[in-house]
Amino acid sequence: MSFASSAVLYTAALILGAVGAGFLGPGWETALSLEGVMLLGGLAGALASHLPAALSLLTAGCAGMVYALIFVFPACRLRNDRVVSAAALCGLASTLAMLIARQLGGVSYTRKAYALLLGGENVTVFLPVGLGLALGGWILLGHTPWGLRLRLCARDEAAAGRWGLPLGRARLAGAALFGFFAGIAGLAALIALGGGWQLKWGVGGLGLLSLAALRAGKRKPLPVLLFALLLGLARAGADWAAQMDLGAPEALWPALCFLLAALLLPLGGHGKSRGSDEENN
Amino acid sequence: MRNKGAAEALKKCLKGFLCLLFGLLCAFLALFFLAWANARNGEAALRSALDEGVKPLLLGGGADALSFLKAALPLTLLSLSVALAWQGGLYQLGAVGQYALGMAAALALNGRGLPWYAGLLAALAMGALAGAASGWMKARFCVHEALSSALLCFLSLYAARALCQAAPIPETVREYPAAAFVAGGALTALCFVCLYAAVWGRAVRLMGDCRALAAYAGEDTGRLTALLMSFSGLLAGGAGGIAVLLGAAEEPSLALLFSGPGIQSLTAAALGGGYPGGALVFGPVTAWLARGAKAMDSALFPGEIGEAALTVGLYLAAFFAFPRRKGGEKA
Repeated sequence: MSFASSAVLYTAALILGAVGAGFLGPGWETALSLEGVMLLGGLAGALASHLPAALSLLTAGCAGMVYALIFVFPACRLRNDRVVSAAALCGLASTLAMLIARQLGGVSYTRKAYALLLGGENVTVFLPVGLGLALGGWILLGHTPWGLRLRLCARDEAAAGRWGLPLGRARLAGAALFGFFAGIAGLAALIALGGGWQLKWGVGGLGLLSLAALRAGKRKPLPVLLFALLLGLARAGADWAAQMDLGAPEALWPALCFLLAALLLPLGGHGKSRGSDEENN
Repeated sequence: MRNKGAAEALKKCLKGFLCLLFGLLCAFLALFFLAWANARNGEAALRSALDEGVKPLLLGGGADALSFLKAALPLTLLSLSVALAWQGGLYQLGAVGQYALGMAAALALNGRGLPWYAGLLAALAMGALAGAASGWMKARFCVHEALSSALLCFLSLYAARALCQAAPIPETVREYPAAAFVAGGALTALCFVCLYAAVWGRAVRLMGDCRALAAYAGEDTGRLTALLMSFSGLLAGGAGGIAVLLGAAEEPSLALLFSGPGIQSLTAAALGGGYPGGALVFGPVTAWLARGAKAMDSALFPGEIGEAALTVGLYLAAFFAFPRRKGGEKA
């Protein structure tokens, strides 16, 4: 796969993951399940890769949505330890993915359906899809009354409930959209990671890179897009460097990518604690 | 007050046990359906599910006690590191990354003319550094430790893999089981002494109960956070070093995270209610079930079903057994 295709796929995965996580509200806890939802959605999309691209993307989105509605929505709505439940969802998704793959005798997919030539370069359909969905998601979340209600319900459930906002429906919609975006992001991720990638490795931490971009960009659209682009380019560069055999261990390059993401994390904060974790995160 | 804490811990462990039972029930249902898909006969499917699925799962693979202890000790220490961090109200999602780093460091130094403790010390140091990074980010920049530790976990896993690629694993890894058990016991004792007998431990537990109250009482919560995550990382790294000494080391890869000690250690800590004592109980239980899952007939029943049982138990434990946090405070 060319560097351009790889970069587009990784960036699309990161930006879609970040937008999806935005539907869950300001807390990071439940969004940590992004890895798991991306894996299951990506697997479903990959299994449908022989269909036209639109159907495959829809399959990925719907699979992610179903998983999120069954497991992520209760974690948002009921009293629980959200970090622990998010970690459980990642583990459960990984196990389910491996069980499905084993029952099917392995997973193979074709990239042909996703090809889109632009100036002689295969930028894949994820370029317009990723940008379009991301733009749509940001407009929906940040510039519509519905988005405002969703954000308010996620931010402070008690206050939102007192003022009569429909908590249950808002959280349900948030979880559904989170799953939909994450599913499509997972498909982009699995295609980018390539045929040699094993499902027991999840989506290689791309969900966490999305969350890092979201935090570093302080949930503002343009900064998040730029950080997602930076991390996407870094991840594509890591794959390229591993293929080039530059004399360093192969696993060093993805490690540097995560180091970059870790260095970006403090950008999204306000310095030393001035309040509760929820305010600063 | 002390009795109330012990009673509370016991109640949470019992809830954790029930969550695990429910997970095992889900596993049994999955085994039955898989057997039924093969046999198409209810009675044969039930017999197959019980004899070739449930029995090896619950018997822990039927291995001897020593090999079970070799598998259980590193996992128990990992669970202890997660539970220790929870006592201070912090999420340690990077434990398996620190474990992998410790393992890689110990493997790099194993059998190169150095004494047995060189690898263990290197493992402890690597784990502590990795844990300290996450704690420092929390203290200095208010980055949620769940996010930073999870991100650093992937960094550590890739770094450990790179280290193993740069310094290949020796053909024969020298084992020191007696030293490993002594080191494991010493680390466990150190954890309990620091947490329950030292002044520092009281401050950590106060921070876990109510961070604001700890700050009001004059504790430097930032420093405590960094030290606690560092100590937790030290335990996790030490678990990796001990795994090498026991001959139970494996090549570091991302598979450790979701289908290995990563999710298993978190499960054991959560089922134990987030208490170190609970981690000591559920660590061996989780190791037992993990070994049992591998012993099932893989042609009929994939080993992932055992993992699925544990993750279902973990998911339920998040709702019922694990202490709930609301606004940074324990409910």
